[in-house]
Amino acid sequence: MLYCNWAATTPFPLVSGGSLGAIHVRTGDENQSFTGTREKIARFFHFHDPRRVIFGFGVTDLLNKLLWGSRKYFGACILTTPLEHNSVLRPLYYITKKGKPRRELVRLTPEGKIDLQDFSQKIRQDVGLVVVNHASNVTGILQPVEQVVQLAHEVGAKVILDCAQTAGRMDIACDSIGADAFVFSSHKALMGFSGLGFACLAEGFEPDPVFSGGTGAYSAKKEQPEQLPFRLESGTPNYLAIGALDETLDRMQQMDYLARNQRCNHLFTNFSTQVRSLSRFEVVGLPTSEHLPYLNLRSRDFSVEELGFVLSNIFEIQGRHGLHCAPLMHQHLGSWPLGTVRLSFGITQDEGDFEDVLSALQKMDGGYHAF
Amino acid sequence: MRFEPLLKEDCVGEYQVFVYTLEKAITQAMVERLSGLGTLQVFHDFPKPYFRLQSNHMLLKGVIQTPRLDVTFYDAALEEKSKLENILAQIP
Repeated sequence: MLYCNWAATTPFPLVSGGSLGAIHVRTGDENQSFTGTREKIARFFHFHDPRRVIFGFGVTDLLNKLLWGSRKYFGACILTTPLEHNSVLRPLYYITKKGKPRRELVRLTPEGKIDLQDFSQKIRQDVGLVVVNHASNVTGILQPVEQVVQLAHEVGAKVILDCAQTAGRMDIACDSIGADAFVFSSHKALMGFSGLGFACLAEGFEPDPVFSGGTGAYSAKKEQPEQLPFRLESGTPNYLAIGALDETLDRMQQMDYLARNQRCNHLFTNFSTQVRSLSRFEVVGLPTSEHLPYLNLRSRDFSVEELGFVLSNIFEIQGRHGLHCAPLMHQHLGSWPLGTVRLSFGITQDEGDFEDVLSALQKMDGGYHAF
Repeated sequence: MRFEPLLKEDCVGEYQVFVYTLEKAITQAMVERLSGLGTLQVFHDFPKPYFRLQSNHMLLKGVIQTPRLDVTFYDAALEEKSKLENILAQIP
């Protein structure tokens, strides 16, 4: 099976099963503070304070905790975009359901980038919190996050940046970008285990705890400790995944993941150019500006669901069909309500993989007979 | 023939997709027995012998020589589902 669903999860973790025993023993020796891993994360993502690196059970878990814990920052309005995944849209739906705060959506450019002119107008309308993704999980288009942060901070609004798609794809310099919170996924391009996410919280961004319990320290306190990371971490951490992440970050550096991503992006550019020439397929929303190696397709001969079935079961190419938990993005792209087949590529893929996918699509592009 | 339908999780919610695990692998003869349910197309040129059967209420997909059918029912077409399951039950 040729795996083309990296936007959902890695096809395999970089850390092998043989390493798990050693990880278990090593993490069991710590008092579960995982100081070393937090320091490693801080270095990897150019973040100055490892004490403000917190772990959660995934990006969805952390986004919920940060959003619900940010009531004091909401202001009259929370500003977000149609690019967002349901891990942002759904919590915001509940938070803004009664109208206070209200939710506003920034307009997108035709190719799916935040319209900065619209953003700069809407940010001045009593916005206390901005939530944006670094790159769309549908099209992979990269957002102008530095400008977003600058404009938001000019009016005193906080910015939460969803980096689920970009961690492991590019060099993310948290201190330089300057958002108030960065949320990362362990199990996508970082090739770690699922069940783990982590966040870097800038000073001055102090969400309240919305999830409380044992913290492994300050046990005599009735309330959740004020100190990070304990304030936002409770219960048994996913120590196996944290240990795996620790080793994975080393391996990513050793394999020069940035160069590999560049190579994948280059191969993808050649591939997508050729796919666009196929007459029986429609390429949906392929950005012209910088983007991750994601391609969205519809077929003139098959429905989206059937196209996904045929690619998977006949040509053994695993993508993902549907709305990709990003309904507003598909409304923007014009692929609502049935969505697209998304093929998302990763650093372990080579020229042969792209050729195989292209060959399959060419075969479907009229090179067959149906009786 | 025995079979087991399973409602497949689907992202869109506009239709339902059931996966039928069959007691036996699909043969050309079985496909012909099902052909009365809609318009049949068989893609012999594909790497695997894919077939589809389309009507106004459903889309049936399968691969000859495998024991599985994926069936999309539009608008909760329970009558079509019953017709399909009756035919499957009658296949020896």
